[in-house]
Amino acid sequence: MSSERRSKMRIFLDMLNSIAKKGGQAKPTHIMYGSNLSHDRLKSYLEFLLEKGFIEEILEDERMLYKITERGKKFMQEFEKIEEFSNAFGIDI
Amino acid sequence: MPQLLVPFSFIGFDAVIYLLASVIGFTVAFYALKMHNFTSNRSHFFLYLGFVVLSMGFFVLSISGFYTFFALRVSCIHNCYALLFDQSFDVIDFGYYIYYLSSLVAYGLFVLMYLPLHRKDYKQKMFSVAPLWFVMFPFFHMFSIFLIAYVVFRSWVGFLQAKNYNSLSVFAAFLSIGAFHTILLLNIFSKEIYVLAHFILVLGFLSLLTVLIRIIRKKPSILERL
Repeated sequence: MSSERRSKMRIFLDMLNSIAKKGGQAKPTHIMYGSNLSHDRLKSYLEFLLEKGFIEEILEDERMLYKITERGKKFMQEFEKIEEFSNAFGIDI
Repeated sequence: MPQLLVPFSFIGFDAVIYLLASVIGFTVAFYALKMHNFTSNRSHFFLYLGFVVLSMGFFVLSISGFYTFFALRVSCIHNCYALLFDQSFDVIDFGYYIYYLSSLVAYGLFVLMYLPLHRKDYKQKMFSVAPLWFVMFPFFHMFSIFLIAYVVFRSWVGFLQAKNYNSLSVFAAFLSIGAFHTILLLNIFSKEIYVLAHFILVLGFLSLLTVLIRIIRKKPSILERL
């Protein structure tokens, strides 16, 4: 694993990716382990993603889940293209 | 300034190549700006600014080339000069001066794009290299090769890390720009070298265009997972 510090943008993408791996909706613990975050940081980043409209909260079997929104999917698609273009020039995001 | 040897039949075609390079360069710059707005990454900003400045240089060179083409080939028979302002300043010279300056600034920005500088350092370093542009002006192609060599090296490192078609194309594009300047140094031996250099330049920019098209048209893998 890279020892370099992850940018916030990268952390948001890792969080969304960990939700995507669970089929588009996931429990907070899955997101926490999937994106390698502490509980405190997870909470503040989830709030940010909710505020931006990239994810939404849904209640299923009395459990709180986080679901990727269309806006979140667009963010991921855009990030993927930008990362590919950046990598072509040898620039890290 | 030493005169370039340009085959008479190629006059006008070089202007088309500069225009094409300028359009592709502006397209890359537009995408780099989009990336910068998304990530606020310093390197993306230098990539954007570098291609804007380089494309502006090619655009001015293209316009001055077209003007010269129409002045010399279409309406002139003997002792023709496409002059600007007064009898001492040729239009194409004006184009070359603008291009020389803009491309040096652009290559400097590409170098900064790859340099691992802290925010407070890069302004200071940028100004410290600025006077070199003017001192080295007569040796434009040699100084350009020096700058672009570093950019080519870094794009080669980028290819070794990514090992994909896109990073290879970017490496090929910067290598072509470097080859363009290197080959033009040999223009004193033959006019055909001027033509060869320009074909290599246009191949480099087309290589950049293929990267953009591939990335824009590629279906994002996120859609397969959701």
